[in-house]
Amino acid sequence: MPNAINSDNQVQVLVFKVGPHQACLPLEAVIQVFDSVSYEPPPGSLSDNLPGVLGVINVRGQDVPLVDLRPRWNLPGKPVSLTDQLIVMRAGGTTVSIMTDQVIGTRTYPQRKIFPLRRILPGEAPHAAVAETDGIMILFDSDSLFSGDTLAAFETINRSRRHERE
Amino acid sequence: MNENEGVQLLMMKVDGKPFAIEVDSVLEVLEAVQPEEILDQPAEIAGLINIRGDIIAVSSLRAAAARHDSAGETVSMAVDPADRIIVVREGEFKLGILVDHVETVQLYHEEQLFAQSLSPLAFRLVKVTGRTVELVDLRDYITGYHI
Repeated sequence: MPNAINSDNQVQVLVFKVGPHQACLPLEAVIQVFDSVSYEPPPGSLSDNLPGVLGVINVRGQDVPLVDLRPRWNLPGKPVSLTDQLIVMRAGGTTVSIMTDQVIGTRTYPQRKIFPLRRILPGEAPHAAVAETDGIMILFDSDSLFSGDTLAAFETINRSRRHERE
Repeated sequence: MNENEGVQLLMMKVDGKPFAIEVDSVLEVLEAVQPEEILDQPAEIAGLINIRGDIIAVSSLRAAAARHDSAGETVSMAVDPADRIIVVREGEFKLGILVDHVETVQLYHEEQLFAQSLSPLAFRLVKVTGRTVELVDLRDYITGYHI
Protein backbone atom coordinates (compact mmCIF):
# COMPACT_ATOMS: atom_id res chain seq x y z
CA MET A 1 0.00 0.00 0.00
CA PRO A 2 1.45 3.39 -0.84
CA ASN A 3 1.93 5.31 2.35
CA ALA A 4 -0.81 7.81 2.95
CA ILE A 5 0.68 11.23 2.47
CA ASN A 6 -1.24 14.26 3.60
CA SER A 7 -1.11 17.66 2.02
CA ASP A 8 1.98 18.55 4.03
CA ASN A 9 3.87 15.54 2.63
CA GLN A 10 3.68 13.81 5.96
CA VAL A 11 2.92 10.18 6.72
CA GLN A 12 0.99 9.12 9.80
CA VAL A 13 1.98 5.80 11.31
CA LEU A 14 1.06 3.57 14.24
CA VAL A 15 4.11 2.53 16.26
CA PHE A 16 4.28 -0.80 18.08
CA LYS A 17 6.75 -3.09 19.81
CA VAL A 18 7.46 -6.75 19.09
CA GLY A 19 10.17 -8.15 21.35
CA PRO A 20 13.13 -5.78 21.20
CA HIS A 21 11.97 -4.25 17.92
CA GLN A 22 9.96 -1.12 17.27
CA ALA A 23 8.16 -0.85 13.98
CA CYS A 24 5.22 0.98 12.50
CA LEU A 25 2.39 0.67 10.00
CA PRO A 26 0.76 3.34 7.86
CA LEU A 27 -2.15 4.58 9.95
CA GLU A 28 -4.51 4.30 7.00
CA ALA A 29 -4.01 0.52 7.01
CA VAL A 30 -5.02 0.22 10.66
CA ILE A 31 -8.63 -0.64 11.45
CA GLN A 32 -8.56 -1.03 15.21
CA VAL A 33 -6.37 -1.87 18.19
CA PHE A 34 -7.56 -4.42 20.74
CA ASP A 35 -6.22 -5.50 24.08
CA SER A 36 -5.57 -9.20 24.28
CA VAL A 37 -8.58 -11.32 23.25
CA SER A 38 -9.26 -15.02 23.06
CA TYR A 39 -8.89 -16.74 19.72
CA GLU A 40 -9.83 -20.02 18.09
CA PRO A 41 -7.55 -22.31 16.12
CA PRO A 42 -7.41 -21.60 12.40
CA PRO A 43 -9.53 -23.83 10.14
CA GLY A 44 -7.82 -27.22 9.95
CA SER A 45 -7.22 -27.22 6.22
CA LEU A 46 -5.43 -23.90 6.40
CA SER A 47 -3.46 -24.15 9.61
CA ASP A 48 -0.62 -26.24 8.17
CA ASN A 49 0.13 -23.79 5.39
CA LEU A 50 0.09 -20.64 7.45
CA PRO A 51 3.17 -20.42 9.62
CA GLY A 52 2.86 -17.78 12.29
CA VAL A 53 -0.92 -17.83 12.28
CA LEU A 54 -1.99 -18.37 15.88
CA GLY A 55 -5.70 -18.58 15.22
CA VAL A 56 -8.78 -16.62 14.31
CA ILE A 57 -10.44 -13.79 16.19
CA ASN A 58 -13.96 -12.50 15.70
CA VAL A 59 -14.11 -8.83 14.79
CA ARG A 60 -17.73 -7.73 14.57
CA GLY A 61 -18.76 -11.09 13.12
CA GLN A 62 -15.88 -11.40 10.71
CA ASP A 63 -13.24 -14.09 11.10
CA VAL A 64 -9.83 -12.46 11.12
CA PRO A 65 -6.56 -14.40 11.23
CA LEU A 66 -4.26 -13.58 14.13
CA VAL A 67 -0.59 -13.58 13.17
CA ASP A 68 2.57 -13.70 15.26
CA LEU A 69 5.33 -11.90 13.34
CA ARG A 70 8.05 -12.97 15.78
CA PRO A 71 9.35 -15.98 13.85
CA ARG A 72 9.89 -13.75 10.83
CA TRP A 73 12.04 -11.55 13.06
CA ASN A 74 14.12 -14.55 14.18
CA LEU A 75 12.39 -14.46 17.55
CA PRO A 76 10.75 -17.49 19.17
CA GLY A 77 6.98 -17.56 18.69
CA LYS A 78 4.69 -17.29 21.68
CA PRO A 79 0.98 -17.47 22.49
CA VAL A 80 -1.00 -14.32 23.19
CA SER A 81 -0.57 -13.07 26.75
CA LEU A 82 -2.87 -10.78 28.69
CA THR A 83 -0.63 -7.75 28.23
CA ASP A 84 -0.35 -8.08 24.45
CA GLN A 85 -2.20 -5.81 22.05
CA LEU A 86 -3.58 -6.77 18.67
CA ILE A 87 -3.64 -4.54 15.62
CA VAL A 88 -6.42 -5.26 13.15
CA MET A 89 -5.36 -4.00 9.75
CA ARG A 90 -5.92 -4.15 6.01
CA ALA A 91 -3.27 -6.03 4.08
CA GLY A 92 -3.53 -6.71 0.37
CA GLY A 93 -7.31 -6.48 0.34
CA THR A 94 -7.77 -8.76 3.35
CA THR A 95 -8.31 -8.12 7.03
CA VAL A 96 -5.69 -9.51 9.38
CA SER A 97 -4.59 -8.95 12.96
CA ILE A 98 -1.03 -8.98 14.25
CA MET A 99 0.09 -9.60 17.81
CA THR A 100 2.28 -6.95 19.41
CA ASP A 101 3.78 -6.57 22.85
CA GLN A 102 2.58 -3.00 22.99
CA VAL A 103 1.05 -0.38 20.76
CA ILE A 104 2.94 2.80 21.52
CA GLY A 105 0.93 5.35 19.59
CA THR A 106 0.86 7.41 16.45
CA ARG A 107 3.63 9.46 14.94
CA THR A 108 3.94 11.67 11.90
CA TYR A 109 6.98 11.57 9.66
CA PRO A 110 7.83 13.89 6.79
CA GLN A 111 7.92 11.89 3.56
CA ARG A 112 11.56 12.88 3.00
CA LYS A 113 12.58 10.98 6.16
CA ILE A 114 11.13 7.70 4.86
CA PHE A 115 13.86 5.63 3.25
CA PRO A 116 12.87 2.72 0.96
CA LEU A 117 14.90 -0.33 1.89
CA ARG A 118 14.99 -1.57 -1.71
CA ARG A 119 17.72 1.04 -2.23
CA ILE A 120 20.12 -0.75 0.07
CA LEU A 121 19.02 -4.38 0.41
CA PRO A 122 19.43 -7.19 -2.10
CA GLY A 123 16.30 -8.87 -3.46
CA GLU A 124 12.75 -7.93 -2.61
CA ALA A 125 12.68 -5.26 0.08
CA PRO A 126 9.23 -3.69 0.13
CA HIS A 127 9.45 -1.98 3.51
CA ALA A 128 10.98 1.34 4.50
CA ALA A 129 12.90 2.76 7.43
CA VAL A 130 13.15 6.04 9.28
CA ALA A 131 16.34 7.20 10.97
CA GLU A 132 15.52 8.19 14.53
CA THR A 133 17.83 9.86 17.03
CA ASP A 134 17.89 6.62 19.03
CA GLY A 135 18.02 4.11 16.19
CA ILE A 136 15.94 2.97 13.24
CA MET A 137 12.18 2.57 12.85
CA ILE A 138 10.96 0.05 10.28
CA LEU A 139 7.85 1.15 8.37
CA PHE A 140 5.98 -1.83 6.95
CA ASP A 141 4.35 -1.80 3.56
CA SER A 142 1.11 -3.37 4.77
CA ASP A 143 0.25 -4.80 1.33
CA SER A 144 3.60 -6.57 1.10
CA LEU A 145 3.68 -7.90 4.63
CA PHE A 146 2.31 -11.28 3.53
CA SER A 147 2.80 -13.38 0.40
CA GLY A 148 0.09 -13.73 -2.23
CA ASP A 149 -0.69 -17.31 -1.12
CA THR A 150 -0.98 -16.22 2.49
CA LEU A 151 -3.28 -13.34 1.57
CA ALA A 152 -5.47 -15.76 -0.40
CA ALA A 153 -5.73 -17.97 2.70
CA PHE A 154 -6.54 -14.92 4.83
CA GLU A 155 -9.27 -14.01 2.37
CA THR A 156 -10.73 -17.50 2.74
CA ILE A 157 -10.72 -17.09 6.52
CA ASN A 158 -12.30 -13.63 6.26
CA ARG A 159 -15.13 -15.11 4.22
CA SER A 160 -15.69 -18.17 6.36
CA ARG A 161 -18.02 -16.38 8.78
CA ARG A 162 -17.73 -19.37 11.02
CA HIS A 163 -19.06 -17.45 14.00
CA GLU A 164 -22.26 -16.59 12.20
CA ARG A 165 -22.85 -20.20 11.20
CA GLU A 166 -22.38 -21.35 14.76
CA MET B 1 45.50 -1.06 -9.25
CA ASN B 2 48.51 0.78 -10.55
CA GLU B 3 51.35 -1.42 -11.78
CA ASN B 4 54.03 0.74 -10.24
CA GLU B 5 52.33 1.94 -7.13
CA GLY B 6 50.66 -1.32 -6.14
CA VAL B 7 47.45 -1.47 -4.20
CA GLN B 8 46.60 -0.51 -0.65
CA LEU B 9 44.54 -3.11 1.13
CA LEU B 10 42.81 -2.97 4.49
CA MET B 11 43.43 -6.32 6.14
CA MET B 12 40.81 -7.97 8.34
CA LYS B 13 39.94 -11.31 9.87
CA VAL B 14 36.82 -13.40 10.41
CA ASP B 15 37.05 -16.64 12.39
CA GLY B 16 40.82 -16.33 12.13
CA LYS B 17 40.77 -16.29 8.33
CA PRO B 18 42.36 -13.34 6.53
CA PHE B 19 40.49 -11.06 4.13
CA ALA B 20 41.33 -7.76 2.50
CA ILE B 21 39.52 -4.90 0.81
CA GLU B 22 40.83 -2.09 -1.35
CA VAL B 23 41.26 0.98 0.81
CA ASP B 24 39.83 3.21 -1.91
CA SER B 25 36.39 1.72 -1.34
CA VAL B 26 36.46 2.13 2.44
CA LEU B 27 34.69 5.13 3.93
CA GLU B 28 35.20 4.43 7.60
CA VAL B 29 35.62 1.72 10.21
CA LEU B 30 33.22 1.69 13.15
CA GLU B 31 33.08 -0.09 16.44
CA ALA B 32 30.31 -2.64 16.12
CA VAL B 33 26.82 -1.77 17.25
CA GLN B 34 23.89 -4.15 17.27
CA PRO B 35 22.18 -3.73 13.88
CA GLU B 36 18.40 -3.36 13.81
CA GLU B 37 17.04 -6.64 12.49
CA ILE B 38 14.35 -6.49 9.88
CA LEU B 39 11.44 -8.76 9.05
CA ASP B 40 12.34 -11.62 6.67
CA GLN B 41 15.93 -10.48 6.78
CA PRO B 42 17.86 -11.42 3.64
CA ALA B 43 20.57 -14.04 4.08
CA GLU B 44 23.94 -12.52 5.01
CA ILE B 45 22.34 -9.27 6.19
CA ALA B 46 22.85 -8.68 9.91
CA GLY B 47 20.51 -5.69 9.97
CA LEU B 48 20.50 -1.94 9.55
CA ILE B 49 22.49 0.77 11.27
CA ASN B 50 22.02 4.49 11.50
CA ILE B 51 25.19 6.45 10.79
CA ARG B 52 24.58 10.10 11.44
CA GLY B 53 21.09 9.83 9.96
CA ASP B 54 22.19 7.65 7.07
CA ILE B 55 20.58 4.19 7.06
CA ILE B 56 22.84 1.47 5.73
CA ALA B 57 22.60 -2.32 5.62
CA VAL B 58 25.21 -4.41 7.39
CA SER B 59 26.35 -7.62 5.75
CA SER B 60 28.09 -10.41 7.64
CA LEU B 61 31.43 -11.35 6.12
CA ARG B 62 31.20 -14.63 8.03
CA ALA B 63 27.95 -15.47 6.22
CA ALA B 64 29.38 -14.39 2.86
CA ALA B 65 32.41 -16.62 3.42
CA ALA B 66 30.16 -19.57 4.31
CA ARG B 67 28.23 -19.07 1.07
CA HIS B 68 31.41 -18.70 -0.93
CA ASP B 69 32.80 -21.89 0.58
CA SER B 70 29.45 -23.63 0.00
CA ALA B 71 29.49 -24.57 3.64
CA GLY B 72 25.72 -24.36 3.82
CA GLU B 73 25.89 -24.07 7.57
CA THR B 74 23.85 -21.75 9.74
CA VAL B 75 26.05 -18.80 10.56
CA SER B 76 25.74 -16.81 13.74
CA MET B 77 24.83 -13.17 13.18
CA ALA B 78 25.61 -12.31 16.79
CA VAL B 79 27.61 -9.12 17.20
CA ASP B 80 30.50 -9.05 19.65
CA PRO B 81 31.53 -5.71 21.13
CA ALA B 82 35.03 -6.29 19.74
CA ASP B 83 33.72 -6.65 16.18
CA ARG B 84 34.09 -3.89 13.63
CA ILE B 85 31.90 -2.60 10.83
CA ILE B 86 33.72 -1.49 7.69
CA VAL B 87 31.62 0.99 5.74
CA VAL B 88 32.32 0.71 2.02
CA ARG B 89 31.04 2.57 -0.98
CA GLU B 90 30.10 1.20 -4.38
CA GLY B 91 28.94 4.11 -6.49
CA GLU B 92 26.05 5.76 -4.67
CA PHE B 93 25.51 2.69 -2.54
CA LYS B 94 26.98 2.17 0.93
CA LEU B 95 27.25 -1.11 2.79
CA GLY B 96 28.56 -2.04 6.21
CA ILE B 97 30.59 -5.23 6.45
CA LEU B 98 30.70 -6.93 9.85
CA VAL B 99 34.10 -8.47 10.64
CA ASP B 100 35.80 -9.84 13.74
CA HIS B 101 38.92 -7.77 13.56
CA VAL B 102 40.46 -5.02 11.46
CA GLU B 103 44.22 -5.04 11.17
CA THR B 104 46.39 -2.61 9.20
CA VAL B 105 46.52 -1.08 5.76
CA GLN B 106 49.21 -2.75 3.69
CA LEU B 107 50.68 -1.84 0.34
CA TYR B 108 51.03 -4.79 -2.03
CA HIS B 109 52.85 -4.93 -5.35
CA GLU B 110 52.08 -7.49 -8.00
CA GLU B 111 54.91 -9.83 -7.09
CA GLN B 112 53.94 -9.72 -3.43
CA LEU B 113 50.35 -10.58 -4.28
CA PHE B 114 51.50 -13.38 -6.52
CA ALA B 115 53.69 -14.77 -3.75
CA GLN B 116 50.73 -14.49 -1.35
CA SER B 117 48.48 -16.31 -3.79
CA LEU B 118 50.72 -19.37 -3.64
CA SER B 119 50.21 -19.71 0.08
CA PRO B 120 47.43 -21.94 1.41
CA LEU B 121 46.79 -19.17 3.90
CA ALA B 122 46.36 -16.51 1.23
CA PHE B 123 43.81 -13.84 2.02
CA ARG B 124 40.77 -13.27 -0.17
CA LEU B 125 39.59 -9.97 -1.56
CA VAL B 126 36.25 -8.54 -0.50
CA LYS B 127 34.22 -6.83 -3.23
CA VAL B 128 30.79 -5.24 -3.00
CA THR B 129 28.78 -5.98 -6.11
CA GLY B 130 25.06 -5.56 -6.60
CA ARG B 131 24.45 -4.82 -2.91
CA THR B 132 26.07 -8.05 -1.81
CA VAL B 133 29.52 -9.03 -0.62
CA GLU B 134 31.55 -11.14 -3.01
CA LEU B 135 34.85 -12.84 -2.28
CA VAL B 136 37.57 -13.01 -4.90
CA ASP B 137 40.49 -15.41 -4.71
CA LEU B 138 43.81 -13.65 -4.92
CA ARG B 139 44.78 -15.30 -8.23
CA ASP B 140 41.52 -14.19 -9.82
CA TYR B 141 42.08 -10.72 -8.42
CA ILE B 142 45.56 -10.53 -9.93
CA THR B 143 44.32 -11.88 -13.27
CA GLY B 144 41.22 -9.73 -13.31
CA TYR B 145 43.08 -6.54 -12.67
CA HIS B 146 46.12 -7.52 -14.73
CA ILE B 147 48.67 -5.90 -12.53
